[in-house]
Amino acid sequence: MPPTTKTPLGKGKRTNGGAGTAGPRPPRAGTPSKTAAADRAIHAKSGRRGAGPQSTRAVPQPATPTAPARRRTPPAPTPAPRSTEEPLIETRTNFAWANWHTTSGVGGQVESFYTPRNVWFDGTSSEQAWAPGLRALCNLVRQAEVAQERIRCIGSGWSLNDIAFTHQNLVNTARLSSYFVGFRSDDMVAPAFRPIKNRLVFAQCGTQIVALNNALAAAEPRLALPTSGASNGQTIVGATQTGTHGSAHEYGPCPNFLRALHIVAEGGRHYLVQPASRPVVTPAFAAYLGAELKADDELFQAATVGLGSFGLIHAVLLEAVPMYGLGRYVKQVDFGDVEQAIYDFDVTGLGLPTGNTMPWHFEVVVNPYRRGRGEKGAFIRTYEKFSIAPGEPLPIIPVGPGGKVNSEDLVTIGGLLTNVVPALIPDALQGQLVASVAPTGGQVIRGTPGGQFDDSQPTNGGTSMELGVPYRSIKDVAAAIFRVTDQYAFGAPVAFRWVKSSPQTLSYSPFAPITCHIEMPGIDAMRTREGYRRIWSALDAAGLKYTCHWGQHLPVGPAWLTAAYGRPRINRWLAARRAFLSPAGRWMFGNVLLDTYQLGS
Amino acid sequence: MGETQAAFRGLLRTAGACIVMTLLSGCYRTSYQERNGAELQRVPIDRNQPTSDVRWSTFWGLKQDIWAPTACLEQGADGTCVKQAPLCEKGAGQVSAGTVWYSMPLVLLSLGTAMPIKVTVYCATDRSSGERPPVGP
Repeated sequence: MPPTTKTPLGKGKRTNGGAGTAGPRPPRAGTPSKTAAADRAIHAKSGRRGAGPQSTRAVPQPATPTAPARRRTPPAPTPAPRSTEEPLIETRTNFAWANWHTTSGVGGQVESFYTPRNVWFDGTSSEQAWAPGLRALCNLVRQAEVAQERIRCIGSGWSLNDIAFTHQNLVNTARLSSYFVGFRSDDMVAPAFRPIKNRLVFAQCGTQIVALNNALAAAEPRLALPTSGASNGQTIVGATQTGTHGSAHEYGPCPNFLRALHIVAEGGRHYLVQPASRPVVTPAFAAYLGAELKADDELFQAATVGLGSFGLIHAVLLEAVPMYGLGRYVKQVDFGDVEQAIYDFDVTGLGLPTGNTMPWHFEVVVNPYRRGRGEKGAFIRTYEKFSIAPGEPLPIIPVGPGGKVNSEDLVTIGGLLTNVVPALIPDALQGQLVASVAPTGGQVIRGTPGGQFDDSQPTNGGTSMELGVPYRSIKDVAAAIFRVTDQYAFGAPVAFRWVKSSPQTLSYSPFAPITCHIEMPGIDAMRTREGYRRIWSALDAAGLKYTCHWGQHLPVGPAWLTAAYGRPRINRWLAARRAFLSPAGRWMFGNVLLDTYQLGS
Repeated sequence: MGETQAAFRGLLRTAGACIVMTLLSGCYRTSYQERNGAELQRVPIDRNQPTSDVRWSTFWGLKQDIWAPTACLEQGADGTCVKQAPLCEKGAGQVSAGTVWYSMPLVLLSLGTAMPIKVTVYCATDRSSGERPPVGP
């Protein structure tokens, strides 16, 4: 059983495995990603490929057309003697990383895969629980800088594309999961936020939504996240950097609850970034972190949905809200009964528990192959918000055997389908939707936000494509989608959700006042990818504007990006990044996928 | 003669199907995931870096196996581990066990005396105590 080697800087002796013989989940065989091919080309030029897993790195990464000029650097120095405050970083080389859903073409071989922990090398922890993890990120950035290599962070591997991925230095943030809820001192909080200082949450990058839900429910007073995606395994930074959303048409997506970002950038220097127009903390808090305070609206809005490219985000400061409840109601209807409600964003006459009032979360999942009268091919899923008084018992949804079944997130649903026999798709999809969206039989199931949204099952090859469109154009977009699915069946439902527009520069929900998100999760097969391509082509041909979810299947090339956001908005994002990072820094924190959209370097 | 050939081809087809099905049986897997917190949600886990090993149970289960891995912090010159730490500082959050592609063929060939099983551990990254979370400065 080969042991795993850990070094303070992660660059000493290494083994190619964990405590066992086959640590990582293997990537899907025979389906190398485009990014893998690109990086392999880089390695081939350098002659570095083929070095054994035990080898130590001595030769720097060669230049690429978009990379800054490379210098020949000397062999890696012998690790310095360990001090008591060297962070513990577990290192694996030539590590095969795959995302949680093992989507084909996502992830691949990583030269150096780092897992920093919130402990020092001697196993001790710090009074400031996050301190070893922060030190680790700073050291890793400096190390990548010296080697002139790229470095990126991954969260829970939730994304269904390579938005987070690089083949060179990948930092697994999962163990950096320290947080605190509320401030004791007024001195560190800006005057406008002092009345709600007990609702400000500092969460390290690897903190998962489920951990935050648990912590906030146990806080005094009890709190909750204002919104979330439909599952709870994402990390807070992974979810917000890609613009994850629910269906909060009165609130917006997850990035809207962020108030400051703590970013490790070039030279291992770290910055606390907050908007100048609405600062949340004082310089005293930045000093507490050892960070430089930057108050800059443009930088904050660009970096909040920064696609992981403004540096390694060590932590965020977010604003929670008083604990509230959500009542889930799921009803199966004919598509014709809900069609106009989708187009008008109006629930009048649907017979919902909220009457004709739009609930907090309104969603319609459609089987595009069962849209006829009597086919019951549409599922209305609503969550109505209700208040919970202090001291009132929380509405707990029983779990496990005998408990109530939660509605599952859509990727889980789609991933269970197969495209092997297209003729079976309509019925297979209908069966999956009934089982997974789970109509509540007229009941309203009351719970907390943390209780309503559960973990996501790995799907062994799930994928998804999601559009953001102006809600006034839903009818035209839906018509284009259904024209494609009528001619070319592929195993994916069509789900409609509505989200308030958000101010981040490259927000995936940019259309005011409300962006409609249309998601089509499926199994990652050729047929599904072709279906997605046909839909994008149909929308382009019709001149319909759309954004795409940053963490899902994306169109090839940057044309959609310019059409969706417009050049001025993209230029603002690029300018904010240019002002924050040097050319070498922009390259270092970029990746191949961002390069293809001209956002990376 | 023709009947013999047809029977032989049938036998080959049956054998081929059996081999494919036997190898495919290496995909079976089941998992345990811990729940905690006030709402008994599944604990968050490190999905990126699980630790796996193929463990052996032999002689029809009479000889069983306990796997108790650690993390190695430092290797000596001879490659042995000279400094160890717990594999997961917050305990295991999910444990999966499943067959590997050669499990069933080996069971058949060895008349059931050897059964390899792949065990995978995902470390928990947070463990809610249900108590008030830490408060900041």
